[in-house]
Amino acid sequence: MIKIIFLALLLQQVRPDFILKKLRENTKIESIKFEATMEIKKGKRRLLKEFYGYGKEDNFLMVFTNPEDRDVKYLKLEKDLYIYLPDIDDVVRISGDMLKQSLMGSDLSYEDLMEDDPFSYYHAKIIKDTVLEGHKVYILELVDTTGKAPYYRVKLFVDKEKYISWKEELFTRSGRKIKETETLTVSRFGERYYITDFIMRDLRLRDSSTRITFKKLQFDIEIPEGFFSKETLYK
Amino acid sequence: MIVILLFTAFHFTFTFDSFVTFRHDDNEAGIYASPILDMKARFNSVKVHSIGGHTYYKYQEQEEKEWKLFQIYGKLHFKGFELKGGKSVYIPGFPGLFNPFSRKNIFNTIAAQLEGEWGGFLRYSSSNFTSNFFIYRYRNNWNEEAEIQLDYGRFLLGLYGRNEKEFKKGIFGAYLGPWTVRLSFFREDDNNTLHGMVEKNIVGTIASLHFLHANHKFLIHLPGGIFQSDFITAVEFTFPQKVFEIPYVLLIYDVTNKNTIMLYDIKIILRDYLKIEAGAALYTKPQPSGTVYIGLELLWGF
Repeated sequence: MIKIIFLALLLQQVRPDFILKKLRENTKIESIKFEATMEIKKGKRRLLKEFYGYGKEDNFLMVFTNPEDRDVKYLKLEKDLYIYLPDIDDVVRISGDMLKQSLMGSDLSYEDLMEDDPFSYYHAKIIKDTVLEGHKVYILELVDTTGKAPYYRVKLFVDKEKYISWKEELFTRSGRKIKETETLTVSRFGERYYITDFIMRDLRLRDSSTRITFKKLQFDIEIPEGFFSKETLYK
Repeated sequence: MIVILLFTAFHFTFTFDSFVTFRHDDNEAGIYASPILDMKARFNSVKVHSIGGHTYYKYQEQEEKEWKLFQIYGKLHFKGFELKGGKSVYIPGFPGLFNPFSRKNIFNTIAAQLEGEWGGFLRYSSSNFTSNFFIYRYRNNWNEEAEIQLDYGRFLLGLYGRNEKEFKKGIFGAYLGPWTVRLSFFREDDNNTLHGMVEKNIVGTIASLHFLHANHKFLIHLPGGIFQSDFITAVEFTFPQKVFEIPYVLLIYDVTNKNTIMLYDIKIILRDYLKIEAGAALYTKPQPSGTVYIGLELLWGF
C-alpha cells in the first residue's frame, strides 16, 4: 500500500515535467518558413491580414502582404523588436513596456510573438485528466518561477498523444484570466505535431478574437547567416 | 506586361482620400481630394518604387490649392549597404510630433503634399549602427544631409548634420525602457530647437508628453489652421488596441500665445478597403473657434 502511494506521488512529480518537455519539443523550432492569415474580429466585424515569415532560434521576420499593410515588416532580434514602416522607409525599435502593445490591433501582443520557447519560464503540475471536445487531455498548470514570463500562470489542456495544447488560459499574478487560446487544427510534420490554426482572445477586450491560420509551413529550412538583420528590413 | 514579367514581384495600391471641412469662425466650407497610385516592383536585390498622385484643396472664398505628388526611386542592396536614387519625398530627420513623416493621423496622405527632391541616398545598417547619407537638389542647390545612429542596449544616440549654404547640426538620444524618453536638439544658423518626449503605455493607451522650445517661430499645421509659436507643450493619446474605431487625441498648450488647441480624430474601418475619418480641431485664440471635418479613404490593390 505504501509502495502504491509512493509510486503515485512519484508519478505526480515526474509526469508534469515530462509532459512539459514533450510540449516544448513540439513548440520549439530550429527554423521555420510560413505563410499565414490573421483574421481580427470585433463583434460581427472582421479584418483580414496576410503575411509570410521566417524564424530561426531567437529571431524571426514577418512581412505583411495585404494591400493596406503591404511591406510592413516585423523583425525580432533576440530581445528587441524592430518595425519597418514603408511610408517613411525607416525602422522603429520597440522595447520595454511598448512590447505589451497590441500587434496591429489584434488580440496578440508583441510579447506573444517574442517568446521562442514560451514554456521555459514555468514549473508544471498536473491538475487532472479530462476529455476536451473529444480529445483526451492532461490539464497542466504552469507557474512562472523566474519572474520573466509575460503571464504569471498558464493553464494548458495538453493532448495525451500529440503533446500539443488544445486550449490555453493565461492569468495574471492576481489570478485574473486575461487571455485564452483555442486550437482549431493540428498538423503532423514528420515526427512533430504543430498547431496550424488557432484563435486567441484577449478577455479584456469586449467580443474580440484573432484567428491565425498557417497556409504553408516548412520546418528545418536553410536560412542564410545574417538574414535576420536590419538590412533585411530595408530591402 | 513584358516589363512586369521581368520582375519577381509587382504590386500596386490605389488610394483615394476625400474630405470636407467646415471652419466655424468664418463659416467656410472646404473640400480636399487626393487620388494616389503606389507601385512597387522587385528584381532580386533591386527594388523600384513609385508614387504618383494629386491633391486638391479649396475653401469657399479662397483660391484653389493643388499639390502634385511624384516620387520614383530605385534601391539596390549589397552587404549592409543600401543605395537609393531618384525623386524621393523621404528626408531623414527627427521623427517627432510635428514631423508628418512619422505621424499620419490627420488626412492620411499629408506626405502627398510634397513633390519630392531629386537625389541620392546611401545607408549602411548593422545591428547596432545605422548611418544615412543623403544628397539632394532643392531650389537649384545641391544639399547634403548625414545622420549616424548608435544602438546600445536600451539606449540610442545619434548625430545629424545638414549642409546647405551653412552647416547645420543636431543631436538626438533615446531611452527605450519601461518608459520611452526621446530628446533632440537642432541648430540651424542661430536658431535652436529642442524637442523632448516621454511616452508610456498605460492599459492599451499610449500617452506621449511633448515639449518643443525654440528661439524662433515654427509652424504647427492642423486642420483648419496654421499656428506660429516658439514654445509649446503637448500631450498625445493613441490607442493601439483599437482596430475598427481608431481614436487619436492631441492637446496642445501654446505657451507663447496662451492658446489651447485640442484635436480629436477618429478613423472608422468599414471594410478592408474603406475607411471613414472624422474629427474636430478646437482653438481658444484669437477667439474660441474650431474646424470639423469628415472624409473617406478608398484603397484597392494587389
